[in-house]
Amino acid sequence: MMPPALIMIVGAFAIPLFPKRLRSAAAVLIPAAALVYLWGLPDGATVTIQALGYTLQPLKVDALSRIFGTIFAIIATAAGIYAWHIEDTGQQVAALVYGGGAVGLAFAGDLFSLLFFTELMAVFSTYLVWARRTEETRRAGTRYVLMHLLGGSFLMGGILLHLGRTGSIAVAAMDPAYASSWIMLVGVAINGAIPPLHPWLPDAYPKATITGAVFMSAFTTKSSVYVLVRMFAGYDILIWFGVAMALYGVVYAVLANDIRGILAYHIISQVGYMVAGAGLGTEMAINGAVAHAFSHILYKGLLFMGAGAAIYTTGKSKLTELGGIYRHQKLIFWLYMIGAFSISGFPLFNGFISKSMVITGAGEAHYTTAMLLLLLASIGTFLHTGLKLPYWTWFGEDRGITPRKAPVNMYIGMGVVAFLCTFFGIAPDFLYRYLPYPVHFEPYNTAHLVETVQILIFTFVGFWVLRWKLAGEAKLALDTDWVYRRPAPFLRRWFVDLTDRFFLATERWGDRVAAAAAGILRNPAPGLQRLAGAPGSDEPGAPYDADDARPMLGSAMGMIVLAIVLLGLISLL
Amino acid sequence: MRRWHWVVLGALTVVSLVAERLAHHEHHYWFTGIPAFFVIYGFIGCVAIIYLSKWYGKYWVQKKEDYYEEHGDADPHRARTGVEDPGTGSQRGPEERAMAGDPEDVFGPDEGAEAGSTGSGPEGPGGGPESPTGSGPEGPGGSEEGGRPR
Repeated sequence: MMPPALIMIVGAFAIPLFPKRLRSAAAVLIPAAALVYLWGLPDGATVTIQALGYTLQPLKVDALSRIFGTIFAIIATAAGIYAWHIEDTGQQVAALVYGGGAVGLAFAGDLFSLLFFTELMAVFSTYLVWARRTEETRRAGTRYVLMHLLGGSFLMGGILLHLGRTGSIAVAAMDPAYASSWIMLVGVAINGAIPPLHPWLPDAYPKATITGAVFMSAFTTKSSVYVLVRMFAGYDILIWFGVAMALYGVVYAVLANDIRGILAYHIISQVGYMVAGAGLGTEMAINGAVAHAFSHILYKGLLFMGAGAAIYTTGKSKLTELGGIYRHQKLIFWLYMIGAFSISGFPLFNGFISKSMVITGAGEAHYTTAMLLLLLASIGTFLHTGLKLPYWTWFGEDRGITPRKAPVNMYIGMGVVAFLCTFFGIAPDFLYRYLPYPVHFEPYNTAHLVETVQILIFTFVGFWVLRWKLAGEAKLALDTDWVYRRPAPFLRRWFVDLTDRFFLATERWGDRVAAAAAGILRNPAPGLQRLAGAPGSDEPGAPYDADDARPMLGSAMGMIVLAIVLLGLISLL
Repeated sequence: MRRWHWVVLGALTVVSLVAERLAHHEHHYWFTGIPAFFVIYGFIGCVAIIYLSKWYGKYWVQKKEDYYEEHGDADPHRARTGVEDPGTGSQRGPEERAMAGDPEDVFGPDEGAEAGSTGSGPEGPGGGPESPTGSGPEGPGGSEEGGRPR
């Protein structure tokens, strides 16, 4: 037996060995093979390695691991189809290793493996930002990877403290009474984009390559949700952070102009539901968090695919530049809308059957305020992802754009995911039966349908009345990355420029001293002769004449004698 | 939006209001008994989100798009020397060129077009927007080269 992640990671590094025209197929078939393989693994299967005195467990299968591993492998396969036309082998390898890291993390049985896969994901996802190869993305990618390495450092610090205290590296529920758990939680919060540690996400995702963003939308934050559910379930603080997150993403999505920026902020918003579910910690809420992560990966992947197709065909990514392309892109629009209906929680789509579990979970645990605020966030979700973005991208003002054709594989990739979004919406039992706890929840009851229909219709009415307020604005909304981006010039001035200048000045002075010394030492005789009061050539650059040096022998002997006398005196002391 | 769209939405609302009366509520919250609660909540919530967010944006966080470029986020050393990642341009797929907003490249992904008309688009990836203000005498000149090797 072996970890399914190994198939993806080894397969990824084998891709460059394939002939060029087979690489795209390999990038689809490898995660599909991992998916089949992980479904063949029995519950409770483990792989144990003894290394450096620790018991590493890179594979440990249970229901929670399997559901996360499954969805990571599914989206890696579907996104592989969507990215079929890409001829950049680097991106194919990076995306597949990244996905392999996510699958590996879901099955990691010990904390060191977990940390290893976290870091693997951080490094290889960064390439998907850098692959655009512009100065802007180079800098965004650097900021992205630095934040993730910081998160990894927190995680590692917490793990080492935990190891020192308990002697165990098993992935298990962490006791909130100890600092080690909280330090780990900070690391997980960075990777999970919990505000105020989230700004790497809306910074990097809109700048990633079109296909890269599809992968990124699926893996990083959801693997953190997995860790939260696994290790930090029932931490009360997460409920309110989750609710705040759900609303925070909504507010910033109003202000965003880049279409993938809107979607990126809605990842934060949606992950808020999962974080809150993990924080509630009841069986219903945990099931809800896991089911919502599963649904979210599908519909968010679809949304990024649809928005990516619009960007690919028009070369524009901002609401202020897009508009009026519906008549060219009917199919792309409707595929995108399936994702939008799903994320908004329309009945018959998969957001409805999972989001409602978290919200009901909050209600059942008597967090009525949290429940209402999560419902408010879902209003915002429909408002932006389902109305503002598609309206101002495909309708709105006609800017006379004639988009080019999108490759067929993009449609197929979107079609596969759109099918899954609808399938799980219509037949939720196919998801519910694989959740970690038994499900006693029926999403399609009258009270729930009434609530959803009323909210959705009147959100739409509100949007229609105020839709002009939601047109894109060519502005930048500052986020918490201000904290490290704004002081950058000062830091650069003090720690880079000042140091540079110091070394430059030192170098110059060193050169000058050396030049002067060289001038003197080339022919030291005249100077020394003058010192000794003897006549001699004055010019420092005068040609060497052996006779000039002869009288100096006496002074040299004199110096040696003097030195011996001094040494003698010192030894007498 | 045609008239029949609104008729359908109105009919759905009426049906939901009737169903609300008849529905069996599994959980009882303080708002369960209020008629049309979610009609009101949906509309007010939507309007509140738009206005509060816009207000927050206008008075707190919205800046010009090149805010960070203006405030020295760009690396003056790079702009000055024009160092770029190797392989720019030649390895860039049509997708990336399209994303860079280069109008010629969107429609004609042939490499020949690139020699003549690179980096001059309003948002071309040229170093222009990234070049910091007053980064020394070589600053602006060097940053012209920064976007893409010719």
